[in-house]
Amino acid sequence: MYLLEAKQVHKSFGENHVLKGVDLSVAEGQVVSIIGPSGSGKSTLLRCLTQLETADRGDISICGRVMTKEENGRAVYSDKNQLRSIMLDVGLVFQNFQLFPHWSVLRNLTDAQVRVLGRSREEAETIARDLLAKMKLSEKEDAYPCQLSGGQQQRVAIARALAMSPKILFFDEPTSALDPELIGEVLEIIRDLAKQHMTMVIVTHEMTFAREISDRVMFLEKGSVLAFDTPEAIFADASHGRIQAFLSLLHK
Amino acid sequence: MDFFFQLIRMTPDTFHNLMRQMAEGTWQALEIFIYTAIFSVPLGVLVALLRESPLKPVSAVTRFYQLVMRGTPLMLQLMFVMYGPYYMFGVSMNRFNACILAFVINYAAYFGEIFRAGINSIPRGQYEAGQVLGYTKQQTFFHIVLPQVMKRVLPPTGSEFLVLVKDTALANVIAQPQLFDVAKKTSGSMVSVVPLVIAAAIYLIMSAVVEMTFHRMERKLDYYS
Ligand SMILES: Nc1ncnc2c1ncn2[C@@H]1O[C@H](COP(=O)(O)OP(=O)(O)OP(=O)(O)O)[C@@H](O)[C@H]1O
Ligand SMILES: [Mg+2]
Repeated sequence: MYLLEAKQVHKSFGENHVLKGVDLSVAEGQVVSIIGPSGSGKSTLLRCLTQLETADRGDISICGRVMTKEENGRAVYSDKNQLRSIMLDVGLVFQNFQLFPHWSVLRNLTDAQVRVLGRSREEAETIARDLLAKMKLSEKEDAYPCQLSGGQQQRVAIARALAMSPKILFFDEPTSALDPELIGEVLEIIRDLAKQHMTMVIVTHEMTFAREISDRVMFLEKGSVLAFDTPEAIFADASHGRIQAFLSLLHK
Repeated sequence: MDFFFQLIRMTPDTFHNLMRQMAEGTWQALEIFIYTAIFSVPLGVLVALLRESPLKPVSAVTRFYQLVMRGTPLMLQLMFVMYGPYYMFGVSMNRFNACILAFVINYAAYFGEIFRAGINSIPRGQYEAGQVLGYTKQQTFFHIVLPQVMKRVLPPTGSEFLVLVKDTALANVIAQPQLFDVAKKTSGSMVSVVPLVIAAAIYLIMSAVVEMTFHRMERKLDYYS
């Protein structure tokens, strides 16, 4: 079963046609990586899928619920309640963490559980502590985000997203804001999630990582899908001339 | 003690009488300060939100109001609110109410600008993080954005409150009794500088209390950056 189905998604900012009919299907338990040059529309695609932007055209369904359906050449969104329940099925991890600085690590993980999902404080804290243990951050529950390293902040941000029990988790360049020596600890967490068959869509510039954990890799260029295939095919196959050029540029 | 009364060239009775009037004036100045503070801060939040309204006319009208309030003398505004309605329509307002109204609409304009800057200084990502976690717009604003705004606007708000302590003296132009009025009248009738010195000391103490209060609040919010 597909947890995410997007068909012919279009998005323009004024005259700038950023997404030119993108298709993406993600099955339950799959990990999909999105790669491509800067400005190709990777973030915009993720933002359309997480409702941070509204698509101009196309169909998007998440967990079997219709988010938007194309009618007469434009995307028609479902009603507020439906969009909200879709929102609760997805999680998003930002490039620059976006933790709430005025709350402790624990509160960052519990507040939305209590306020949005209506869980009891005890239940929320149990879930939060469990996740912090998995992130190897148990001793940091009373710390404030500003007291943590970038890698630790990103792990808290991942835990915050997971605390809401999303069915599908999106990452927008989760390691791009990190010092090189901190990248590994965050990738390791994502790797663990993949082993537990968490459904994930990851925009990344970490090619070795993408190749290693993805079931499918999408190569996006200038708003069009150049290839959507297994990592072996994408990274090995010389038939994708543009992709090879992009990859060799990265290695320089 | 006798030396003290010789120094200020007053009998103990005149001095006590003076201090009684000073105390009353201080209370009247404090009333202006407190009412203005209570009403202008929430109104300032509203002004900030109206100014940021996506409806162009709303934002434009709010901006014009702020320009008028910040671009004309508060003294003139006090006169306008106090005497304007009488000159134009023959109705007059209670002096104290007119005074508070003028102060509130003036200070709300300044607070609006401070809060607007504060709200705009919160990165868009914070709103987006709230949104994808399922918080409603209101929850995101009141639980995530506003507490961070408060920390950032505390220093400029404190400055504004210091100005307000001294601005209460402007109520003199509409003959609203308060500390400055007492100081002026008594120093004139006694031909003495003493009332002025006492009033200055009282303003300074009130300012110091405001300064210390804000300093303490800032320290309380020092736990994060
Ligand atoms: N809010 C916006 N308003 C106007 N233009 C935008 C907006 N967001 C993105 N764009 C434009 O859309 C295009 C794609 O941007 P996007 O951020 O999706 O690229 P990206 O693939 O994520 O790039 P990067 O690898 O640098 O993150 C760019 O030309 C960008 O300028
Ligand atoms: Mg991007």
